[in-house]
Amino acid sequence: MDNILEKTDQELVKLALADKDSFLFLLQKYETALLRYIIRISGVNREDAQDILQEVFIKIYQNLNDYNPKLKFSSWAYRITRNQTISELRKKKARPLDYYEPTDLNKFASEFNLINELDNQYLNKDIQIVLNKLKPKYKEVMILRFLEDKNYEEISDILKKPMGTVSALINRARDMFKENFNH
Amino acid sequence: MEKVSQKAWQQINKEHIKPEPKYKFLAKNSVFWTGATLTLILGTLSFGVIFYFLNNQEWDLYLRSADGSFWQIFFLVTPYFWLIALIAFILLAYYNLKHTRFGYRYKLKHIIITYFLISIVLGLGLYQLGLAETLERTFVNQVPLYKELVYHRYLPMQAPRNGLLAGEIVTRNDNNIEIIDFKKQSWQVDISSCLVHPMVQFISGEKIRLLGDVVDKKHFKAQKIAPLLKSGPRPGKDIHRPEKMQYIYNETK
Repeated sequence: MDNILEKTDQELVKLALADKDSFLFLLQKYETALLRYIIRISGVNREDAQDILQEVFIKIYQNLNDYNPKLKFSSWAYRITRNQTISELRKKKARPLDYYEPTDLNKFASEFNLINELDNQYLNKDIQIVLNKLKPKYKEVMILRFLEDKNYEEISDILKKPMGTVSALINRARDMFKENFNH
Repeated sequence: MEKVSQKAWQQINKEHIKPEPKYKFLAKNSVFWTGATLTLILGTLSFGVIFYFLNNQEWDLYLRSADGSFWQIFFLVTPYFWLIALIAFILLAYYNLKHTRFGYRYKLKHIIITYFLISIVLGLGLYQLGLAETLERTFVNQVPLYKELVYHRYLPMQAPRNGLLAGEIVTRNDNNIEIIDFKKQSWQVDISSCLVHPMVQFISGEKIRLLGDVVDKKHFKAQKIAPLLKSGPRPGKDIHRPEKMQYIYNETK
């Protein structure tokens, strides 16, 4: 346990299968990122997101033997998180709420070179409106690419879509975002 | 405030939650790989039979059938049963591959093109080995619905005015055979000088196709004779298929 900080995710998974304590370390490592991801894709409040995340962690543990080291552990964990979040929203027959943290909106503004706008508050509102106009499939690649900073391969593994499709989705989403923003 | 990871960990301990055994996931993955492999084999068989079909067509008979209408010829020539089977197998292969562990990484068109190319190569091999013909014959002999479907295809071959006749041999004399066509009409066919497919045996019960000329309401002069189904059931003793499938000129004096 002494050098647990130096272990890779793959090694931690191996350890977790033998010792539950190592699994707790793995959970702690991804807790913040996954919680933020749930809020970003669903717009639920923090308490609801935490409930979803707890279920996600249980699922990850139950499916630990299904994890393939050829895949990044984070991609695999994000995939489970995404599926669980969608499933929870379906259960509650709720649509994802379109809410973004101001920091997220700033990230979009910087990504699309919109930082020269005079009034930041109005800019964020506009970005929010434009994002809300996008179809869910475009919105989710925008979140993964520009807010979660995932590369194409990671997005492909999270969404279980071919890389070419992911690339096309991102390009299309980017174009639609720019187009909607200029109107 | 307690962290979610801590709460989840406590729940795992309290409810004695355990990871699902590895074999379960391996079994699930194997099912999809087996499905993908099986559908590839079935697709290969379909391709083999399609090659066999296309390579054993009697184009001159078709061109004279049903006034040579495009759709009529298309209907006769296209092995639609096997084409539908092939499409179904391709879709099933795609479904199975998509559900394997990393199947999602491949695009539909790449999977289909790869599947197609492998099936074509293996299907050609099967055809060369004669297995495609064996499979088709088995289908004709063992699957009544398929047999009906195949015979139905040849109904347009029944067009005496266009020089086409098809039916079952009743008797044979030296220069003549008697056949009963699909409309149950009896015909005396002059076979004194015509091309005969090597698989035609002129025995009672044998189903044949003829190209020639109508002499009158009951008489027909044959120019070319072929089996109705080259792969179909043959009455009497089953003979080996001749190596060269060239027509033999039959001339009796």
